[in-house]
Amino acid sequence: MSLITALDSLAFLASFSALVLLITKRTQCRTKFEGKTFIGLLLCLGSIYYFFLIIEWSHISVSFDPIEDVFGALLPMSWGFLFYTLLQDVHRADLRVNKLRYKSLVQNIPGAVYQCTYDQDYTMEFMSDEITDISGYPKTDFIANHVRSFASIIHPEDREHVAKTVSESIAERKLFSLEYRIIHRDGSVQWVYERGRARSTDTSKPIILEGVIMDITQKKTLLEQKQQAEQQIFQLQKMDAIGQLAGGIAHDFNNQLTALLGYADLLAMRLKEKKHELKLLGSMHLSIHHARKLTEQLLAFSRKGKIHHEVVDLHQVVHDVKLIMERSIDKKIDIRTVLSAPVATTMGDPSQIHNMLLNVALNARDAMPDGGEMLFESDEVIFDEMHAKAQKLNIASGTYMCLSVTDTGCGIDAQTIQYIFEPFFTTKEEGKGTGMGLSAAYGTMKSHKGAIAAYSEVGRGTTMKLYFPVTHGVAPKHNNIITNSPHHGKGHVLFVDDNQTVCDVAAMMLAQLGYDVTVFTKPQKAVGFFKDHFHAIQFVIIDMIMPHMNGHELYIALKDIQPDVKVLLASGYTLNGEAQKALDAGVQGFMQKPFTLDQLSSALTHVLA
Amino acid sequence: MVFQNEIVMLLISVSVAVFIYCNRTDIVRIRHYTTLLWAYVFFCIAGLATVLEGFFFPVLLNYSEHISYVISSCFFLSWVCPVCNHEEENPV
Repeated sequence: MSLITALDSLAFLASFSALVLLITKRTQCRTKFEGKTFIGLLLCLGSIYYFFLIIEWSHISVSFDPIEDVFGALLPMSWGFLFYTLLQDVHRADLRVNKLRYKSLVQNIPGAVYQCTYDQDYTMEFMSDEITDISGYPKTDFIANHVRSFASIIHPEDREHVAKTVSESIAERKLFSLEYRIIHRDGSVQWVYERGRARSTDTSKPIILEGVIMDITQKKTLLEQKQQAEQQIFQLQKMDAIGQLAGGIAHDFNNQLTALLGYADLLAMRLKEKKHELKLLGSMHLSIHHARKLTEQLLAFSRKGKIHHEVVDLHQVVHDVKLIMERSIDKKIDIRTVLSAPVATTMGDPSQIHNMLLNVALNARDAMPDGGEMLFESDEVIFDEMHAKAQKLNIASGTYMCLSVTDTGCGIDAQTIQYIFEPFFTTKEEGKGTGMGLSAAYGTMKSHKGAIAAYSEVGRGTTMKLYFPVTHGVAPKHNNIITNSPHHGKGHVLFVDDNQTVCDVAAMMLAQLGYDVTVFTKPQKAVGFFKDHFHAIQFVIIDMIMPHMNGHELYIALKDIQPDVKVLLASGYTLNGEAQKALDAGVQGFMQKPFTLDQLSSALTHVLA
Repeated sequence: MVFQNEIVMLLISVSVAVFIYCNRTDIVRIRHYTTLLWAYVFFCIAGLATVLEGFFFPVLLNYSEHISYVISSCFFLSWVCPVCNHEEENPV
């Protein structure tokens, strides 16, 4: 055998082996690549071709030239087809990978991917599975609008907005993004965010919209809660700021009223015989009294008023108020009580609570000019921390008595109800209301560690809910003490107030009551005087708020000089805070400005007793 | 002596080579593509040698032709073996 025959035999053997291998492994090959047909063909051709070459070079006297030529030409062609089909395999593999990637992307996008025709119903061509989680309906329902169109589950109030935004974005060739509501399969309303664009704006073809729809219900709820919390904080801060302002004004105003009231009382004593002048003074007194009521309400709102702390029976207060209302209001209004709270006692100021409830009841009355029903209800409410927060009442957790006053009047709209606790806010006609009733009620409830809330529906009525922290105890019985005339006394009184007018009137009032008076506008000077004359001074009246040294500090200084000094605090401000500290430290009494001659006399009698 | 069929075979081989060159970025993604390309290169060398042996070094080029066929067949076999035995579904 020649070398060439041996080489051709080797080539044949290699080709033939490959062919045998391909045939034996055809099962494995079947799923692997499409090019196996051409590999087989190539191998067959190669084997035959090399077989002919072997024969040719083995000097066998048979000529296969024409057949060999054919196979010789087919062989490179089958190589070409082999490469072609292998490339097809590569592309098919790419397609498979891309399909998988696309599927994975579509499945993992946090939202439903869609493709639809821009028509009236947004006929869906494609929609990913995520739509089931968002809407509750299977995606097959939407494909080709088979069962329902996506447009049909858009909230009716949002459909116009969606259609408008989409059409505008198509016209402007821009991306559109919008938030709207859809109706979930279970009937709930879900918020979704959609972002998409038109694939083609060629008017000759149907416009295709593509985009993604995401469920933002949770985000929206959180945002709303955050906004509400912010609004609540803002409202509280606003009320606090207004309270500070109102308290400051009321304090200064009270000083002026003290002088007016004092001078009016003094004048009244001097004009005992002159009836005409006394009548004029009576009118003046009445005006001052109204002004004092106003400042009291301002102080109540700003929580800077005087508060007595004792056990208050709220059911008794309701009965008292009901009695007053029944006597004073139109018979067209029916007053009912449903008092079912097991414990109706709270710690607070009975007079303030009484006034507050009266104010709330009067508002209810004013809301029913054509008559109706006024209902007082009481019930026990237990707030845990979460519940207290959820109610947005800004109160601590615990047991409360909820006292509600409901009227069947005209109601308050949502816009107005936001402002009803603000001072001087009123919807009543000019001159018919000061706008301080509910703001004073708000302040009173805050100072009693409670809360007030209003619920209203226009045309159906309003319910004011007052939450009082429950205290177990028995409310004391009150006897009204009527003072007919001021008690006169004797002794030396030291009066300290930074306001000169108040000093002047107080000096005259005290003198009228029979006392010797020394007044000081500067506390330091008063201390110096007291050091030298404490044996002669029977008691001291001190203003609470003064520059450089407040009433409490002055009391401490006086106490250092004479431990059993008798002191009466007078203030246009509160008993809380520094004043309460002074009382705790031993101050004998507290007197709210402005005070009348009678009140001054009573306070002095009380202190000296 | 040059045969017409040998020139045709060479031309077809060159055309396939041009096709391979044009699609080189995808060809490189065929599994064990270097082995397959070498098989084809030697197949082309064999075809070229067949044509050239009619002009010069007939004996030497004839041997080259047959050796190239052997090498090409061996490369092809070595490409088929791993491709047929490979476990992955994807041939590329």
